[in-house]
Amino acid sequence: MSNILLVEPSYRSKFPPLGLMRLSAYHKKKGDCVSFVRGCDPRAQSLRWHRIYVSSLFTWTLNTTVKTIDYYSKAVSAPSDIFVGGVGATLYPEYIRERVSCSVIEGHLSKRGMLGPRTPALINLTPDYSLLAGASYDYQPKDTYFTRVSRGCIRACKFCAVPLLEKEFGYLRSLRQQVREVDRRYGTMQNLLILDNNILALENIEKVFSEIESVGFAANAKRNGRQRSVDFNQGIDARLIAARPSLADGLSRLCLHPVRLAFDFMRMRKPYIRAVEILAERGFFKFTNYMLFNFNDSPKDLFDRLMVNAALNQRLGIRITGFPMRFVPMKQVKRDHVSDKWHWRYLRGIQCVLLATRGLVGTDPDFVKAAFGATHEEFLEILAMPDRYIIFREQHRNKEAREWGRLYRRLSEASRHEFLELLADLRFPQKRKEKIAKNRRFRRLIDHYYPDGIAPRAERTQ
Amino acid sequence: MTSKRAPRIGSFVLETLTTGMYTEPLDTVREYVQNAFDSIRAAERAGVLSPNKGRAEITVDSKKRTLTIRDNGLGIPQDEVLDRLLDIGMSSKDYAQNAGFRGIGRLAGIAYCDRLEFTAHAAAEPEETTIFHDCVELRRNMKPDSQVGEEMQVVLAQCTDMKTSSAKEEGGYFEVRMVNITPLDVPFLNYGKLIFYLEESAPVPYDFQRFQYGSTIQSWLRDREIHLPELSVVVRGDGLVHEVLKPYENGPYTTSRNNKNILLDNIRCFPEEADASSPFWGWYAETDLPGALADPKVAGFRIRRDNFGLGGPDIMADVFGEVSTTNRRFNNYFLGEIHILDTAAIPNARRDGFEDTEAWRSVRKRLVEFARERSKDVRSAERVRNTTVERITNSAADAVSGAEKKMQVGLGTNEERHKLKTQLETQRRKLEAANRPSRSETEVQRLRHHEEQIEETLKKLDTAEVLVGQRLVAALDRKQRKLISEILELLYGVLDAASYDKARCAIMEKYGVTTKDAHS
Repeated sequence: MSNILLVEPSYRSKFPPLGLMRLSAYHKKKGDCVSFVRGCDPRAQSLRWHRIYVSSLFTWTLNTTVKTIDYYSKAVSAPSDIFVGGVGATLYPEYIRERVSCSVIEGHLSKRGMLGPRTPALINLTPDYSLLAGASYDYQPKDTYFTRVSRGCIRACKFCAVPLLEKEFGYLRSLRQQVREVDRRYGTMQNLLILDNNILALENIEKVFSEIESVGFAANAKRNGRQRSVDFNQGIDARLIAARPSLADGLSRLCLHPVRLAFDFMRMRKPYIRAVEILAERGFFKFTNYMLFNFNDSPKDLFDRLMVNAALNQRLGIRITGFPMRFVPMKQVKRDHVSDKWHWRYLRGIQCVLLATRGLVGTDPDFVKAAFGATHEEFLEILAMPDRYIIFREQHRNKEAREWGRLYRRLSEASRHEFLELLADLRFPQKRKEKIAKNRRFRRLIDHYYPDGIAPRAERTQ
Repeated sequence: MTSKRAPRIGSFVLETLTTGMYTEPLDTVREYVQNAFDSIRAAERAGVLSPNKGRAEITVDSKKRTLTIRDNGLGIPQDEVLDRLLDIGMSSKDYAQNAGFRGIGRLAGIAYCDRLEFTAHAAAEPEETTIFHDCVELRRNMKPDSQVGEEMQVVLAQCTDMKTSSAKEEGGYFEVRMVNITPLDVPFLNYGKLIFYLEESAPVPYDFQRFQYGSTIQSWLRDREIHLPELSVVVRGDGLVHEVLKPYENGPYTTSRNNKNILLDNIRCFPEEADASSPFWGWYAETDLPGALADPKVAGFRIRRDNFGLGGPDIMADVFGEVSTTNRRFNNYFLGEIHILDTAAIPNARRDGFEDTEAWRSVRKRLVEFARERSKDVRSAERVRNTTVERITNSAADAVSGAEKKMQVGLGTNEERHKLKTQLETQRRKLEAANRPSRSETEVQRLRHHEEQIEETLKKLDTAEVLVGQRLVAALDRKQRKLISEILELLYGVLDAASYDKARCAIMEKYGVTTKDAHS
């Protein structure tokens, strides 16, 4: 029997750590004692463990993972007894290796021997749903099956990590089998989450639809009087639906909620609109729309996409909630990337607009216009405003914001560019006062961002 | 006239049996683990439980302030529950077969919680029985200032309740539950402290993954048909689950002073002729014995009986102390266990030593001999190291005194100064190299002392005047100057200090710039 510690570093996460849950299932089956903690836990650090597994998520949270590994380094006999895996560790293993000594696992545990001699592949193991029973962290969603039917993706989008993480597209395991196994071990769950990258591309997708129906997730399915739901959390491919409307028929047989589609650039406008139309025709009403920005797109591209959604909402009487997602390059350990066509101020502006709505773009066209502007010019002007003028729009509308607008509109295109670059430079507090004092040209405008050279209280965090 | 009346026992005696009984609050847990161990072994003997299936599970709930100790042993048949759980000091357990046998240990929990519950169930019986003790009320009656003065039996009966309910499992089980643990600072709810305590005191297995010699010990025991009883103890609490294992590891360990490495070369089991009828057996790690181990969990020979730890390293420290008072500390130079097999050597009620029986006296006598041998090991290891240190420090001392002498008589040339410095630096390097992690503290001190002396001499050498350039009259050539320097050196070697000074003054008066200058 071994004492095993599973650690999810204290980065923000929403979903339960499925990789660690699989490791838990594996070790419990062997008869080991398995503990789970989040972040740095002094009690766990004071004990001796035969193995510690640490998860990683985004590359920009790798620093937290590294600190966590270091924290537990004395709780094992040898550094190699700490195993680190997950998305971050797969995308940027050298970042971890250069900083701490541990065993880095790249990719899925899809082969034998990855965790030591004679260890099996764990990829198809049912996660241990009981692991998080005592966890104080609030993982979402609860009472849900977590499943994956396929791996990889048929596309090779440059902005996406999937082609790097899962090189080949293919079928993984029967959904029915997965659900039945969870039922047997941990009891029936209310909802079904399917974490596939591009499930509609499966050749046997019809069979998958039937399996989903057969395990209790047909359209309008209820359990204990409560509506059940199927959620393809990573989204379904609008281009495939546009090309094959029968896929929407299959989806309409399920209690799918919400429909998640990606609309990553204007070039895919036509198939995207077509897919929404097809799905709306089949009675789907609520959509979530992943919208990539800060990649090869421009602010105008994002604005146009927002307008496409607003128009679709109005025309089809549906509700598409936008979910803008800022691009960060694969090996960035910070989230401060600014692409060529964006300004730091514009990215910050988007963040401020979305602050009130927890990252979502509302469905009411009037709201969208009020929040992001009615025209592309208005959109850019809103994004350029000082943080508090965006966040507390009503409060400042007639006073400071008007004065700011008057000054800002006077600037030529080139001056605006120069001014926005200056704002990007001023975001770091070091020598900010001196830089402001030196600049005479934009002084009155800068005063709106940094009155007396100081960031207003609510804007201090970057 | 003699009285026929049976004496009455007052409730104050309860204090002696609970708070007064143990020095360490966690000993309470050990008492319950001991009961679990006996119950599991009884179940194994009865063939109800297959070997290696017995388990004690301890659950800590720091929020609710409860501690539960549950085993899957024999349990207690319903018709015996009252006798076994209410009577005090009437245990029918055989001391030769059981770790606990006095029938008082279960009261220990009264001192540390508001309610103490015992739930027992024997295999295949439909119901379990729970006995509750109101510990708040019991403690009130135990205090000498309570002025209640009731008889112990009466108080216990008043503060005790029981209920039966349907059994939770089919097999036998016994559960102790301490509810609302008080006071706030007692260590029961400290997950780490509880585990460390159990590692040292419970009869848990070796950690074979961390301690490769665990299997060496096992096979040595197998060859001699000596049985080492073990209990699987799992501690759960606040999200953590941990199987308790003995704290021994492959190392390297460190010394408590100077953090020097202690490497485990091998282990030695003893006595060589041991078998199941021997009074004891043991093992210890072979190291170069550079000092006392820093890790308090493993330092020193530990006495175990039925694989339960007794009295930490103190018993064997006393045994070493009997060889010679100064040898007491040598116990902590070792890492090992001594398992007492002689059933006539009976642990005392506090479990920090043995009853003073003939059997224990005889075992102890043999252990004193063993400690004498181990003390010799320490001394001889130190001697071996000292010899080497001696050689290094001797040549360092020679270099220093040589340089001092030269400075006293005056350095002939700058080359000579350079040569002396090189010699000293070589010695310093040797001293540094000799300062290995395995050195004892006294050795390190000696090496450091000589290093410091070399440093000092090097500094002096830097400022010492060279006879050749400064002190002698300009008319002398280089060879003559060297010769004078050599003569002075010769005289320094053969004359006493006063005569040397006199001779030196005479020479300097003739060849020096002035006598005063020569002395400066």
